[in-house]
Parts: sequence; C-alpha cells; structure tokens
Amino acid sequence: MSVSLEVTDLNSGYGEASVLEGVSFNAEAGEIIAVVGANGAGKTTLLNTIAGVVPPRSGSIKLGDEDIARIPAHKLPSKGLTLVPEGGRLFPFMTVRENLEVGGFCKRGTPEFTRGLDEVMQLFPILGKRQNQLAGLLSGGERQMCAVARAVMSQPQLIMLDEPSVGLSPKLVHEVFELVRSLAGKKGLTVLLVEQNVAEALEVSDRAYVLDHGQIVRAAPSSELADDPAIRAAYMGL
Amino acid sequence: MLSFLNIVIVGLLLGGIYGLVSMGLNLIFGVIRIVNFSQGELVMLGMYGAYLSWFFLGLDPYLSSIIVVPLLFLLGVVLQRFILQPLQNEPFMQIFATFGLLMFFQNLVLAITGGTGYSVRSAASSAVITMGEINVSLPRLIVLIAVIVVALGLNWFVTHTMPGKAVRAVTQDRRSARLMGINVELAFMLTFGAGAALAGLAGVMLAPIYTLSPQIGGNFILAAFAVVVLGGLGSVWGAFFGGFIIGLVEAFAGYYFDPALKHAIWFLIFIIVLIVRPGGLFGIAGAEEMGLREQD
Repeated sequence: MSVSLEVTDLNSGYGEASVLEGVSFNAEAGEIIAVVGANGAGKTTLLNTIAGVVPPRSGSIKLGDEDIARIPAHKLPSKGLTLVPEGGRLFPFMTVRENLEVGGFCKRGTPEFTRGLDEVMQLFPILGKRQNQLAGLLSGGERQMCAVARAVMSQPQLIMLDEPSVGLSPKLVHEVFELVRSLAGKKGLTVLLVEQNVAEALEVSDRAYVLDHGQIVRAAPSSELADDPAIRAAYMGL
Repeated sequence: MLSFLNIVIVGLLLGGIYGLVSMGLNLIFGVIRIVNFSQGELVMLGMYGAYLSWFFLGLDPYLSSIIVVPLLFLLGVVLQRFILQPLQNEPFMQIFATFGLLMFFQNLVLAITGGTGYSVRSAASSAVITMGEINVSLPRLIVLIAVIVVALGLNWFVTHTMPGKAVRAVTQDRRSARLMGINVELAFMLTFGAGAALAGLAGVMLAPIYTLSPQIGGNFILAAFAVVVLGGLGSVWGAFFGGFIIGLVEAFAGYYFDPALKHAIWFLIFIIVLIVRPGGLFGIAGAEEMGLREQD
C-alpha cells in the first residue's frame, strides 16, 4: 500500500531563521523521490517539517487527501508516514528487538505488530541474529538497517529517509539503497529520500528535486539529472 | 560479631527507607531529566495523607496507600502539566519551579498545622520481630519489603511492557521516540505522576516510623540525592542499591565514629564517587560513546 505526498508552498524554520521558502513538490503513490542538495540546503528541515517535528509556518502537506501540516509528530506514524532520521538515532541502550518493537508502537496490541516483527526479521536476517544485542553496539551499516527496519515496523505507506548514506562505506551505501529499492518494490511504499550522496540518490530514485538555500531549483527525472553536466559539476564533483 | 550483624541489619533497614524515597526522584530524573527538588515534600504530603486517612477514616496507615498513592499520582500529573510543561524548553526554570514547589508545600503545611508534630499509629507500629538476638521493628521491615517490590515491579514494567519500553525510548532519544508515535508530553505527565505516587507510597510507609513535621522532606531529599548520585541517576537499580549503600554507611559511621558525622561521611563518599565514576556506580558507563545524545 502506498500513498501520495503533495507539499505546497511550504515555509519553515527555527526561531528567527527561515530555512524553507515556498517549497512545493510531490510524490505519486509508489514513487521513489530524491531531494538532493548541498549541506545546509534545508533537506533535513524539509523532512522534519513533513514529519511534524518542526512546525511549518505556512503551506500545506497533503498525505493522500489529508492535510497533515498541523498534526503533531506522534500522530503521524498511525497515518502511514515514517521518518528514518539521520544516523538512524536508535535507542542505544535497548536491544535490537526492543528498538523494533518500539518502532511498531502505533500498531501495539494488534496482529499486525507480531506479523510485522516476523516480517522484519526475515527481511533483515542480520537483525534477527542480533536481536538481543544492544542497538548502540551495532556497526554503522547494521545500525542503518535497524533504523529502516524500525521504521518499517509501523507499517508505513510513505517512508522518508534522511541521509541514509552518512557514515557508511561506499559498498554499504550501495547495499542500503538496494535495500530501500527492494523494500519499496516489495511493500509498494512511497519513498522520499534526501541525500548529499547525489550519484547514489539519483541512481535509486525515479524523480529528483534539487534543493538550494531552501528553495527547489530543479525538478526532473533522476536519469536526466544524472546526465546533466551542470548537476554533475555542482554536486558530484565530476 | 553480633553487633556487626546488628549494624548490617540496621543499615539495610535504613537503606530500604532511603531507596524507597529515591525511587520516584530517580524515575523522574531518568525520563524527564529534571531534578525534582520538591520530591521530599511529596513524601511529606504522603505522610500527612496517611495521617488524615487515619484521623478521619480510621484507616491503618498502610491501608491508606490505596487513597494516598492515587491522589499523589494526580497531584504529580497536575504539577507537570500546569507548572513544568509550560517551562519545557527552559530546563533551569523547571528546576527553580520544583524548588518553588518545595517552599510552597512546606509553608502550606506549616501554616495549616501551626508546626505541631503529629504521629500516626499503625497496628504494626510497635511490633518487633525477634530473630535470635536480633530485633527488627516491623514497620521498617515493611519498608524494606516495599522497596524490593517497587524495584522489581518498576524493572518489570520498563522491560516487559510496551508503555515501559516507550518510557525507556523517551529516556534515550526523545525525538526518535516522537517519530515512533510516542506522545512524549503524555509520557512526561504520567512519569511525573508515577514519581509523585512513589513519593506518596514512601510517605505512607514512613508515617508510622517518623514524627510528622512540615520540614521532614528535607531529611529525605538530602539522602535521596546522595543515593541517586551514588547509584546512578536514572537507573532503577541505582536507587535500589544506592539506598543500601547509604544506609550501611550511615549505620557503620554511626556506630564506629559518631552519628552526627553521618552527613559528612555520605557526602565524602558522594564526592569520591563523582570523581571516580561520574555516571554513578550503576550508571551506564560510556553513555556518550554509545550515542546517548543531547535531548531535543
């Protein structure tokens, strides 16, 4: 199951500082969308605003037919939206299994919860093996896997990933992106990905937006952007 | 040898008292990350609650816990919601606010009672259990049992129930917990309520042992600070074992040196522990390396 996301004229920021200025973009149900841009472009703020952690100043965020712009963060997972924060932000002193269980908090006490736990252990065999280990002791790659798995536990329709490649070796980065793609295919998820690793992000996604100084400056199919000399020069160091 | 065993028992019984009054303080600190200076006053209110239930309803103090504990829970929820939550983003102001509550409750009770000391009688008050040569007063033994039950119960709650796991998640990373669908503000309210309820329980259990006075909370809070710093702030077992350590130290110091020195010795140990193991004896070593981050 998947759901569409439509962000219109979104403004957001912290205190006096405004970060996002009139951001509009959309993701069709089942699409993988990448938002790429340099450090400080506002990528993380964009995801945090959609996830309800940072309150938007104006604009609308439609998940399917519902405007979720004023809904507090803790009510969004049960609406099918989840965010994998940068670095995973696992609960370090809880076991892998407990992390996954908390990920399914909005499904607690339902048959979906138990089914989800079994499913995730199958999708991520390494986590099944490490389920009784403290999450803080996982390696970087396992940590990112666990964070994605934890998000999947809420049975999302839209999964947002904040810089999943940070701190990972190129090989692991590739693995994580492959995982995201297969997950999206298998579960029919809509994926919104923000990345500094532009090359990988463009490879995995269907369409991409370029965010610069809090504004969307380009929108195109990912393959088109990947071949664009200006993008290659500005973001891929080629 | 006998006196040694006697001192150990006195120490353990005292430790039970200190552990029990520290449980709520440590729970609140662990989850909300504020030091509740008014915790001792909540214990004091629990004691007066036991007195009122005894005076007006004729309830045995231990039985009055079924009234006092839920009332203190409600008080805790209200205090968190209307005093601490509006100060959510100003941690220093929250600490001042709890200090203000300390002054408020102390003076409120002082004004109402006019400073008369009350005492509460329980059927168990004067009961003494004799084991060989050693005498143990029943009310103190009940406290010891209570602290064991509370520690085991609390530990079971946070490791085996979904709400308990949610509370631990909030403790370790608030923002992540929010993203998982946990209502962090509600968790804070309920946790503060639970901390106050534990203070109420401690008050009820201690009412038959001490003479009630508005300032009695001060005695407990000082011990509770020593206990939680020694045991490790925010850990269930920290308050439990920290309580026994402080109790034993007090008993031995009282016997071999001078009872008047007990505070000095507590805090000497307290300072040494802070220097050697800043996380407390049962605190989590290397918390920063493992990614326990600043809360936002």
